[in-house]
This record gives sequence, C-alpha cells and structure tokens, in this order.
Amino acid sequence: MKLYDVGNALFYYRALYKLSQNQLCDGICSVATLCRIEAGEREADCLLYETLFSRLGKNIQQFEFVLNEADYRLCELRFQIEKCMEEGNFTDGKIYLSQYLNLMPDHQVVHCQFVMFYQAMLLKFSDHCAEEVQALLRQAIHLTRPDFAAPSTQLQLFGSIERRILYELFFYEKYDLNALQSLFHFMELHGGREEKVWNVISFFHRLVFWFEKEQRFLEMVEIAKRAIEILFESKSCLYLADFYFQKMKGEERIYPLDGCSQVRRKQVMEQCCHIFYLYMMEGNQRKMEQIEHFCRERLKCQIIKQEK
Amino acid sequence: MIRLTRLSLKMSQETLSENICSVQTLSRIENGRHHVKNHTYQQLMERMGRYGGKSFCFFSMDNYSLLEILAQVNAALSRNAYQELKNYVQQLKPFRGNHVLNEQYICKNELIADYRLGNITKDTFLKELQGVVALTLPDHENLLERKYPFLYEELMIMMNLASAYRENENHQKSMWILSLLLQILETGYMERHKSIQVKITLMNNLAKVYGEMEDHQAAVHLSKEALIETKREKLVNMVPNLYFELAWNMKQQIEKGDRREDELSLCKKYLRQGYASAAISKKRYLQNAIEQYYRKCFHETIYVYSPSTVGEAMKD
Repeated sequence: MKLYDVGNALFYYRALYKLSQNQLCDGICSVATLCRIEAGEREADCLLYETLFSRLGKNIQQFEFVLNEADYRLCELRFQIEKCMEEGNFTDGKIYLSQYLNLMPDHQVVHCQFVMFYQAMLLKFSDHCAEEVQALLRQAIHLTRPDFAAPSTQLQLFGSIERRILYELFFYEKYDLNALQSLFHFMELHGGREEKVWNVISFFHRLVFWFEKEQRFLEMVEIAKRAIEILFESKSCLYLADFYFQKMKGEERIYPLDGCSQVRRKQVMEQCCHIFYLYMMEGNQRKMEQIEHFCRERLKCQIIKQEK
Repeated sequence: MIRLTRLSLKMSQETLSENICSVQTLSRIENGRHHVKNHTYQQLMERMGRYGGKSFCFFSMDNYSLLEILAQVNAALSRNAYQELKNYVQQLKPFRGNHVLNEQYICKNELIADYRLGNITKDTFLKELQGVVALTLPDHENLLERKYPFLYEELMIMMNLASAYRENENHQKSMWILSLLLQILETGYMERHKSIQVKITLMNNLAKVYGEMEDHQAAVHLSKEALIETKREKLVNMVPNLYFELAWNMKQQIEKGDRREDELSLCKKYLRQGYASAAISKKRYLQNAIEQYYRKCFHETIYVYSPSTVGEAMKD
C-alpha cells in the first residue's frame, strides 16, 4: 500500500467525523508527526497506524500493508500474545510478551501501553492481588490518557487497547458513568461492525448486570437495546440471549406485567420462549432455569419442553 | 501469500521473478527474510494475476466516500434488501473507471439484485454470472482444481456461481465448486475471522445441495459441523438456516427409515432453536418458513406453554 494512501485514509475519516488532529493523536504522537503521516511524508509502525485507526473506529486489517522485518516480527508477536491470552495459555503468553519487550522500539508509548496491559492481564489471571493489577492498568492508561476520568468538553477518542484497559479498570474504581458512556458513543456512531462487537459489547454486558444490581432499570434497558442493535448489525450473538433477558427483566420492572393487556403478556411469553431456546443452543442450563422461573413468577406460565 | 499463490499456479520462482528481482531475493521474500518494496510486491502479484495496490473492496483509494457506499452495499446484501442493493450499485457506477475488478464487483451485485427481484430468469443469471467470473478468473475451474487462494470477493462470486448452478438443478457442479472452495479455505491463508464466516456459509450451502441430492446424512453432518463453528465464534447469521437444514434432513431420514422415530423430538428442538434464532435476528421470512414447516409436520404450534391462553394465566 502506498504511504500516501494510509495518510489519506486517516485524513478522510478525521475530516468526515470533524475531529482535530490533536483529538486523534493526543497522547500517542505529536500533531506534527500526524500531519506528516497524513501528508504521506512519514512512515510509522503498524501499531501506531492501528491505534490511530482504532481511535477512529476502524480496523486496519481491511488494508494491505507491506511491513519491514522488525515491524512484521512485532506484529506477529502481538498476534501470538493475543491468541495465547484468549486461549488461556499464559505460560506461552508470558514468553512472547518478554520477547516483545526486548524487540519493541524505545520510548514509543503505544508499545509500552500494549506491554503493560498484557502484563496486567497476566497478573490478573495468575491471581495476583487486585491492587497490583489496578496499579499497572492505571499506569498503562496514564501513558496516553492521563486525564481520561476528568470532565472534558472536548470529545476524547480511545483506541482498542485504551478501551480494554478502561474496561478492566471500571469495576475496580468508580468512574463517572456519563464520561465512560461518551467513550463508547463515538464507537457506536462511527465504528465498524466488528470493532463495535470487540470493543463495546463486553463492556455493555458488564454494565447491564451492574445496572440491575443498582436497580437502575431504565439505564439497564437502554444499554441492552443498544447492545442488541450492535449485535444485530454485526451478525454476532455474543451475550445476545443475556441482553434480551436483561432488557425483558428491566422492562418488566418499569412496566409491571400485573394488570397489563393480554397482547403484551403474549408478546412477553413469546420473547421468553425465544430466549429460552437461545440459552438451550448455548447449553446454558442455569440461564434456562432462570427464564423458566421468570415465566412462572411473572407471567404465571410454564414453558413446556417436549425435547429429551 | 506470494508463495501460496505461486505454488497454486505451478509457477517457478524463475518465471515469477524474471525482470522483477533475482530468484534469491524472491526466495528470501517468500521466507519472510527480506523486506519487499511496494513496487516489487505489486509487480509480483500482478504477474500472478492478482491486482496489487488495492485495498478494502478492490476500489482504488482515490475516493474514500466510496467506502461508505460499499459498506451500504454489503449491508443491503446481508439483509437480502435487493431493491436497496440495486440502488446503491447504481451510485457506484459512475466510479467504476477502467478497473476490471470494479466492473466485476458492480456487475455481480447488480445481477444478484436483478435475479432476486425477479427481473431475470435463473438461466440468464447463471450465464451472466459465468461472464462476470471470467472477467478476472477466465480459467476458474482450473484454479479451483489447483486450490488457488482466491481473494474474499472472488470466493463470494464463486459461491454465487455455485448457488446459480444449484438453482439450475446442476447439483453436481454446485457441490464440486463448494467442496473445493472449502478445501481451499482449509489451507488457512485467509484472515481467520473472515475465513470462518465464509466457511460457515459454504458449509450451509453445501448442506443444502446434499439435501437436494438426497444425501441427507452428509447434509446432517455438515450442518452440525457448521453449528459447532457458529457456537465457537458466536456468530448468529447462518444459525436459523443451519437448524432448519438439519431438522429438514433428519426428518427426511426418519421418513425413509434411516433414523429412529423417537428422533422426531430432536427435530422439534432444532426447529424451535432455528425459529428462536430467526426471530432474534429478525429474519422474518425464515421465521415464518420454519413455523409453517413445523405446523405442517407436527400439527401443533411451535412453542408450547401452559396455561395456553393468557386468560387462564390471569385466573391463577
């Protein structure tokens, strides 16, 4: 891919979403550097491109890159580290991370942040104390976004690693929910379908249960609806049954079924059956029992299973 | 990618590298030990019939607003919104330029829209689609046999071609294309997430062909394998289709005595799961089709709950 095209793409999307250069590159590189990248006068490494595009809600896998040897090696290592973490293979993950640390360029915040995030995840999954994990995550986010929690009039953009750090930090520390939700608002508006699923859905999944615990049912239903919309667009079913169930429970708390019309009761019963069979597809016996319990308690109905 | 493509074309390193770079350089490039310059990469790919310098959906990066229209085209296609698809394709036409890939992309999508809207017959669809494929893959049957690593859009067109053969009742040809495409994907050259989505669709289409050829066991096996993949990858798109395919084929086997009668309850379960996933993913036509099939087979409503009326429930 021509150098010019990468910068061109960055400029196009930045202009389309009416973002300043500072908004895009704040904490990652200087405005002068971004300017040269956009003009095609400067090459950057793959992770920097990835972070910039990710802040715009885009995925660079849709582009064709020709990487130099060192950059390619780092790219491969990132892939291996992510794969190991997904598979729970923490031993190999640690080895790859150590190799990454030795190979990564000096003083490049995006690389440091990547390493710190995965070091924190390794600590978390090896049951180190929560304070240690939090401290490392906080250090990681401060590399690029030292003021992320402070109220701001200007829209702040977050790349994929930054969002994952905040997702992990969210339930350790109390953050202003409005500030955090604005974090995802940009992704919902402009993110690619897959980017929304990878970056937003897991966070929304935690939120719907947190809102239920806090008895904030309006927000619970709102988040569930937004999640369902994202999943529908991207043809993913990640936590789909949960979001439908949480939405239904929330709506029932806001508008109780007692004394409601027969039409509504029938609709809710139909929904219960959909969700029940979705959980059956997942093999989630516990959730199947929960929805049956909901039907018996709230609708005074019982789902008849004819399957073995 | 370079090595895979060269091997599938049975091209030697000498032939590929002639007048571009030395054989030793090509060898180092293929083994990842040499940083290939953009210009060299493009020349190598173009010699092998690939179109270098492309990105995203084969359109050149001169006009990024096209990317938004392309996204709309893909969204309309995935929602089976064929009139919308036709409208968006019209918007792309002024930008096609001289690039044959652009021409192929526009023609393919226009053909699909016209066929699904009933503007052309299935026979015309097949003939025209063969012409569209030939624009960049004139020898596609040979390439299939050689396990050529087709690009994503090429795979899509080949899949459409297989569907066109099936709808023209040439099941053997359809099965041949789909089976080879699956084998090609198994080589693992394509980015994983995209590869899985294509693979699941291929498996569903192949299961359909097997079902129509009355090889119900093969159809059942493929549908189950595909459902395992969808579960692993948390993809919902083909799930209702797969459950419907699975249940339908099992029912055929039961009627022919190839499966036990008591497996009918399993058919019911699969149909309900298909119905639920069709409802959740707003595939109304499929939801209705599954419900109608269920009623026809079992003479009862697809969901059974007690009390059966909400009036009775309210008495409780």
